[in-house]
Amino acid sequence: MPRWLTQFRLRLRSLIRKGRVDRELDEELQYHLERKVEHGVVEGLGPQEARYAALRAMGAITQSKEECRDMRGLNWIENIVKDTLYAVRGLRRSPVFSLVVILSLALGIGANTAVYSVMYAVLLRSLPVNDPEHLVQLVSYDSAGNVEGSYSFRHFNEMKATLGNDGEVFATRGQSLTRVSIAGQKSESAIVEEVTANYFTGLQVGASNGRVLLPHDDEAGGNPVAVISQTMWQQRFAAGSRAIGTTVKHKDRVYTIVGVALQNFHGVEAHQQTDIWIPLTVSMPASWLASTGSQVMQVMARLKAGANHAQLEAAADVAFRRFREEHFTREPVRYLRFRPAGAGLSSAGQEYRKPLLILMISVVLVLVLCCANVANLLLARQQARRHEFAVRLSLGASRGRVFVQVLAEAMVLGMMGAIGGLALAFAGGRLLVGLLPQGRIPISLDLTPDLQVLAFTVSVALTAAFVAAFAPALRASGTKEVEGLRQDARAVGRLRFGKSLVIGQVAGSLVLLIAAGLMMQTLRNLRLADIGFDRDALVAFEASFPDEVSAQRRGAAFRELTQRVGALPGVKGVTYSPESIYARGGWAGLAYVPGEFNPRADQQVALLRVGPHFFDVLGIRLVQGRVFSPADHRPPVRTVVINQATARYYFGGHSPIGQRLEIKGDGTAVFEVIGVVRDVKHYGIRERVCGDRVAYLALSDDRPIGTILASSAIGSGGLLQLVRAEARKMGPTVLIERFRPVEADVSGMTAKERMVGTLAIVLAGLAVVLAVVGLYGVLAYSVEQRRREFGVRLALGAAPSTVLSMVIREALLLVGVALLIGIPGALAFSRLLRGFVYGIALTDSSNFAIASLTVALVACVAALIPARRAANVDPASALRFE
Amino acid sequence: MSKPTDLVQGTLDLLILKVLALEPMHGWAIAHRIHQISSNVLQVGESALYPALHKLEQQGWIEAEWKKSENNRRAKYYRLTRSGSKAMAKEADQWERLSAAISLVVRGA
Repeated sequence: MPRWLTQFRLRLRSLIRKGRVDRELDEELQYHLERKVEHGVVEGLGPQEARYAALRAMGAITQSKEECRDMRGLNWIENIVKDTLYAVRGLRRSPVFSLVVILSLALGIGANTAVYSVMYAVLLRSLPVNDPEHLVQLVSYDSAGNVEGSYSFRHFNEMKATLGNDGEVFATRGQSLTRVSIAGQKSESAIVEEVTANYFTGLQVGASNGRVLLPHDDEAGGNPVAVISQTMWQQRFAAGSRAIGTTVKHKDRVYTIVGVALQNFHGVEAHQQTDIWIPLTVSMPASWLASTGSQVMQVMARLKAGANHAQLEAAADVAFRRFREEHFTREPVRYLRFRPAGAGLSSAGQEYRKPLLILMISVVLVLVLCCANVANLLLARQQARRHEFAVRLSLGASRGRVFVQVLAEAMVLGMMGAIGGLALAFAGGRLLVGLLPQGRIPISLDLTPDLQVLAFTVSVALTAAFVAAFAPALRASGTKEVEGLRQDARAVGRLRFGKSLVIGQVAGSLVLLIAAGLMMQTLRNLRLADIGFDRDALVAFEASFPDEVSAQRRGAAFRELTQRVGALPGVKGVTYSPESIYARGGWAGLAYVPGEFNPRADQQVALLRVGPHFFDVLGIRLVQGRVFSPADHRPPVRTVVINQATARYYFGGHSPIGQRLEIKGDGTAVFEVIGVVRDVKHYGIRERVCGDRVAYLALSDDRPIGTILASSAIGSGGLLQLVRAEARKMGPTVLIERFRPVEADVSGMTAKERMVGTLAIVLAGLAVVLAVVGLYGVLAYSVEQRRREFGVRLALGAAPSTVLSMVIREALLLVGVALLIGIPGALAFSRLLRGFVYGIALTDSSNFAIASLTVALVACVAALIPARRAANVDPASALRFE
Repeated sequence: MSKPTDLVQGTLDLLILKVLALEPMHGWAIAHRIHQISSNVLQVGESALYPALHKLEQQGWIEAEWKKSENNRRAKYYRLTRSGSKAMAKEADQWERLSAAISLVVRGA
């Protein structure tokens, strides 16, 4: 038997069969005693005499038994069990104390677990595939460090050829929320992901039923196939076998379901769940497959085990630049890099990393404040139990044992706090996901606490308990026996330590208050920001006409719908645009005065194709020239309206009207500038796209498409009913989708700010409450300690108001010290908020002043009760007290 | 290797291992045998002996078994294990070096 196993077996035996081991030890020593007596008799002593001699020699038998037990190393395990049970008993005797401590810990731990579990689900959790560490995403950087990750199908094929020997290169067009019709039934919405046929082989995800997409599904002429997710299989097909072979119609094309992807796999985005995968070679227009301009695919690769990443990256980079030199002669140089993609494409990660990081730091700060509170409570309890500790120490308990005992109590509290925290986190995590910036596709995160999150919670809880209990435990074990047994023992050290904890708490809450103030101001500024058009009366919606097969008939139906909506009472105007007028992402192209192309200059402009009456409906003011007339919408469109930033950039002080711009959008063409409009923030209140330059192109009227925008005097709910009714008149299958006030889109753009802002305010409130409780506790204790002093003062003629202000002054002194620490801390912390605040400086002095005043005011309120108690001390009873 | 405080304890361990290398025996016999072999110089007290035995057992160097003793009573017999005899060789070696070194210093001074 290996040695460690022997040891373990013996140790286990000592622990479990304790009685038996002890009996054996007795028997062994008894035997020894008998032999010793016999030996004495042999040496010539009388039996009685020999027995006494032996007993004398073995006097220390109890002690050697104890030593034998120590040697068996079972005492420490036994002690842990004993200490824990003792701690539980002690805590049950003071339920209020325990409850307060557990609640504070649960709050702090819960907040941390909630933020961590969201962070883990979005950023850290590996995809449920084999060896996720071998997955990379191919992204490119420009010299300014801007990341890009979209490629054309031709470029993808080139990359596949470059890396083909060292890994599987595959791609996805990303997910889209669209309408599909399953088995010829009424259309329903589903999240569809268009992927290359080697997507599943590259990810190494198998099928739970049927098969996944295979490389040959790419080949032209074959029967188009689709794979569905386990979730869809269960919800839509009740996990039945008839799912396979069913047809799915997506954008006029019919696919046959051939399999169900393995459980848990929902695509390569951590925060969105794909329902249906289809091969993009089938779904994408043939012209896109052939062009290098349609950069719509995100490319990933599974590198072979043991492949040299750096070398492959360098090779891919060289090929990438050669391809771009060949096909994108007029664009700045970019460099290709591998980005680890084991946790999925980090498109969400990029978006959420910073806000989640800020939240994580904030909740850690809150936890520290909770710990300070718990430490203060434990300290008070230790003070109250001085007598008990002194007795135990005088009876021979070692200081180490007392230390461990106080610690054990805290650990028990910590574990209870962890349980409460997990429950809170479960609810809080969901709230947090609700606050995350939502895109078109609903965010769905798997927040079921798994082992990793559980381990995080437990280690946070134990660390918190240890940190909070360390000083109290040290003080408990340092109790002086004699002093501790005296009734009137003072605790100056306890007060000093408690005060420094409170200073820390107040400083911490000041930091969070200042951050919350910045965010409150930011939210206000964002709400009031002038975005250049009238967003209040505007609604937006999309329409689809699944029954109209040809583009021509679809166009006619679209035009009919806009006319019907425009004729509704209360609707002032209707227009449309295929570009989202208020959303991330858009369309941009190169623009230059003919003959003045400069590859080194930034000549990108944002392009918006707009339908008739666009500027009227949105209320965008014309500055110069004219806007589009119906004639401008007749193909081929050759006129352009630009905004003031574009006019300044290309034409300086000269009038741009009648000037020409060559624009590379759908193709390259020369346009005549007919008008200049006010600058409008189409891409977000704070986003600067293409240096704010925007060019509006008239959408040709033979193919009206896009989001319909209506300006109306009716509330959006009432208007929806009217629009639906019009759609029904046109036919049963005309669908009105995503009907929303444009204001919703606008505020959706600032969701990140709102998330950080809301949570900063909540956490600051929490921190202030914790600080108030801590301050109250310390002042109440201090007043109790100084009862006699106050009694003497009052007896000697001090007015109660003087005593009152003494206590308040004590509180304000603490706050003053806290401000000295908190303000530099806040300056450091608020730097994290760069990029989130809007319309207010990070160092805004009035914000600092308001936060400091709030803290001071709150401190005075917290001090009021102890102060009044001090002022109301009855001199006679206070002096008689001892 | 050995700290000064380990000296006495370590030495007792060595003596026990050495005696047990002869044959398995119980605690009393071990103390008695050490006493005899050392020509009545070394007296091992039970308060040192039993903790040492239990520690050695815990370390896996000796193992114990209850058997009938020579006077027909139940006694706990200790026996050297394989790792115990290895440890003994090492300890003995170390002791030789140490004692030789000490004698050198004592005589030379």
